[in-house]
Amino acid sequence: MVFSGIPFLFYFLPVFLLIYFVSPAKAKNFVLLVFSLMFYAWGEPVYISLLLLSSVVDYINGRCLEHFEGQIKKQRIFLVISMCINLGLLGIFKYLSLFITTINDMTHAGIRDPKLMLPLGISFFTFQTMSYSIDVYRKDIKAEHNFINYMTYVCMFPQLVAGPIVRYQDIGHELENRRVTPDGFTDGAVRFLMGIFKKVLIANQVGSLWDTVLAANDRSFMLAWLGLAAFTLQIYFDFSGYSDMAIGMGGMMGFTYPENFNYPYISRSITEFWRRWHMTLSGWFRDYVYIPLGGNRKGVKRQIINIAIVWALTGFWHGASWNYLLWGLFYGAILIIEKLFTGKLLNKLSPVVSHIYTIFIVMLGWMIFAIEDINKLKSYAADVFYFGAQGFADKRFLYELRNYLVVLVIGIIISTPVYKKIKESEKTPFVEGVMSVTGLIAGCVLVVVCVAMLVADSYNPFLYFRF
Amino acid sequence: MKSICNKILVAFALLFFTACAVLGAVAKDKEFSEDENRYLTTFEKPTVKSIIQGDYQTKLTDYLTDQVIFRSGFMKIYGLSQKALNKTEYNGVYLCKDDFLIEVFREPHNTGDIIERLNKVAGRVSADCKLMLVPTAVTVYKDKLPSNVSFKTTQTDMLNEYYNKVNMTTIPVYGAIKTGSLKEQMYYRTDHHWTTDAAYIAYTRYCAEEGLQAVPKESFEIREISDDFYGTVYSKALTINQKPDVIRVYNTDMTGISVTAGGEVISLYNEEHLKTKDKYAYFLDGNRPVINISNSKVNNGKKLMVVKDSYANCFIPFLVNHYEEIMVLDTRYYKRGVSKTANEWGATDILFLFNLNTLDTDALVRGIF
Repeated sequence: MVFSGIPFLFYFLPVFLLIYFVSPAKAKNFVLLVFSLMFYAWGEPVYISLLLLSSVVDYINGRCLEHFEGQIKKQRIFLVISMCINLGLLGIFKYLSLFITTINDMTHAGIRDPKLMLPLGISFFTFQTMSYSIDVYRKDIKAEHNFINYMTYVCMFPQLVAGPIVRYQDIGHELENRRVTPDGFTDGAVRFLMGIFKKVLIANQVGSLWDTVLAANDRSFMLAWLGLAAFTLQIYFDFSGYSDMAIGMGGMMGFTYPENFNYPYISRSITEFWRRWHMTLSGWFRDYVYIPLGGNRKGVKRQIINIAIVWALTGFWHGASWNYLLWGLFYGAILIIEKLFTGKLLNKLSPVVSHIYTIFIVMLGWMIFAIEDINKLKSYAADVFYFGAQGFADKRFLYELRNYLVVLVIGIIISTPVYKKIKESEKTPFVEGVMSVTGLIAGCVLVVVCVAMLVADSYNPFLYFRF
Repeated sequence: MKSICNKILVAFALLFFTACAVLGAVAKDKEFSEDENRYLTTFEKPTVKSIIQGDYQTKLTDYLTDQVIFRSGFMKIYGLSQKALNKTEYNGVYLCKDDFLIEVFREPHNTGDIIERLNKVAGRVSADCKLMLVPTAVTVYKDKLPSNVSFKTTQTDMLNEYYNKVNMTTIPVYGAIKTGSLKEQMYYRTDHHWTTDAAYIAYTRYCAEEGLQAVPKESFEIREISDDFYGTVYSKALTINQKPDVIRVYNTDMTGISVTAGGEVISLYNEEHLKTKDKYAYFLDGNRPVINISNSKVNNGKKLMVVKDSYANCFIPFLVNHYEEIMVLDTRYYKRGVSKTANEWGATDILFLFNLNTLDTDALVRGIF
């Protein structure tokens, strides 16, 4: 089930909220857990077993790690079990097929590909349960004894299938004890609606432009860039919209999920971009891979190797296809260059130049990310760098530009903190009042328009099924 | 103030979602959407297997989305939102000048394949074969399209390729329809079909090529049979304040003409359909797999088979004055081979009549020869 769909908005969410809020405090986690399992089973009626396996294993691991406190050797065994099972699940269900096809292509070995379907959200929940065991091992957190609370942590539906990657330490105390005020509930719900707006009103709209441009056999230079601009906005509004929905629903129940996006497209360097994009993922790799590898504490050479490893893994995490690895290495290389050479320069340059530099790299990155087929990627890259058969700009470009200009401009404006700044600026009570009422009316209209778009438009993709 | 407004917004959204759910659950399911002119997904009972495979969940999602309360209203709001975003194209429809809605034309992929099949049939039958391909509004009304719409392959390119490569008599109608468009409306504003006036022009072209004496326009009594026709293209776009279309008919003398469809007696024109949404079905009683027409006033031994799509429905009535018998096959629904049927029936002439927009995509058209 996706959040931005009629079944969730009309049926699942109202029923869940009703039952959740009439339940006594002690039963709330259980209600949340049951609904979360139903939510997951809607999309993965069979693979829910993997979710349960991964979470139960780490619950037991947590308890064992605690039991053997002080006996490092025994503790390590449980840590290794957690890693093996979680990474094993990822390896088998996410990457096995890719490895077999690649080996077959290279050696004609003809190994049979079991063609396993990729379980929904597997990359998110295995990372969560692994982080839990590691944190218990490191004594950053205490093992959770209450099985229901623990399962609720792993499975709760707002963040189950598309992040943010919530760590146990973020919400451990809230599992035990949380308070929902009317204001907190309202803020969460508004955040949820904002996420829906981002996904339905912007991401889905520009997404169809990207699909059109990608499907064209050859593109003029400008059309190719227009397409990249469309995908750049689509992926941001889709993903950050999903995070807003998750954080918002968490807030409605009194959970504080970590933020995941912080206006990434206003960055002035790629280093900054990755501090603002999918923050919970980069944080995860930083704390569980980069720092344990030695981070920057073992000399420049080692740091460069560490960066390369982390970014190869980050790229590969996004999907079992070689273009994701390439995408990760591309970023690894840029980050190393920024660390060694250009980082300081970028700070000194005019902001205009550094913004253009950053968005240029990011858009190229999305091109690698979005096109899995290497031949298609090559042909697209050719259109992005040279004037091919269609030249600099063609009618097609003018046509699509005219059709999508409004939504692209709205998207670009909302991807900057302008709206936030206006909201938080000092205002007279009158202006404040006018803006609030306007916001209310606009919000109500947009709720109806969103539903209309979900009903009428068949274009409503779920982009994270590869994650 | 802000906090109150936010609370009202949240209350509105949640009540709105819930109200839609409750009203949707209470309301009776619709099987057919008149506005969209298509069947809606209906409820299916779950089975253990369908749940485990996830098919049930997919179907249920479609069902809930199709059976949403106020569906038509939401479709119209969607159309408005696309207009507000300054779009000139959505759901496969161009919003054109003069209140015209024109279907998007997609790059053809099967031209070579279809030509081969047509030639195969032409080689297998003893009848004289001819091909009439009709350009659609997207070509004839090019000037009405939003600016900068461009096609890699145009319908004219497609037409030239077909007419150059098929081994049969070809009947060019594009020029005549284009000229006709200066005086009369050649395509409906809200439907993907040509008008009866365009079909008449094509008929005169057909007669000219075949050496037949076309019935002059003056001898027909031309009547408006509907002035509130909202066709299939409107069903996709659901624009607000759309001007409806007028359907006209050139009255034919029906004496001596009998029409049957698979044994059932029908008529060239069926008034019943004018009461429904799908008013174009007035012609030839909609899309029947096979129709037999005979005219006892004609005695020339000529038997025409028409292999066609729905463009032919308003065209065929003009031909009844020239053939003893006409057999009409809609290859999207007729499942026996064309050449075999033609030889068994003893066709003297075969006319293939398709519009250039659906010719390429209609897989069934390809599959049948």
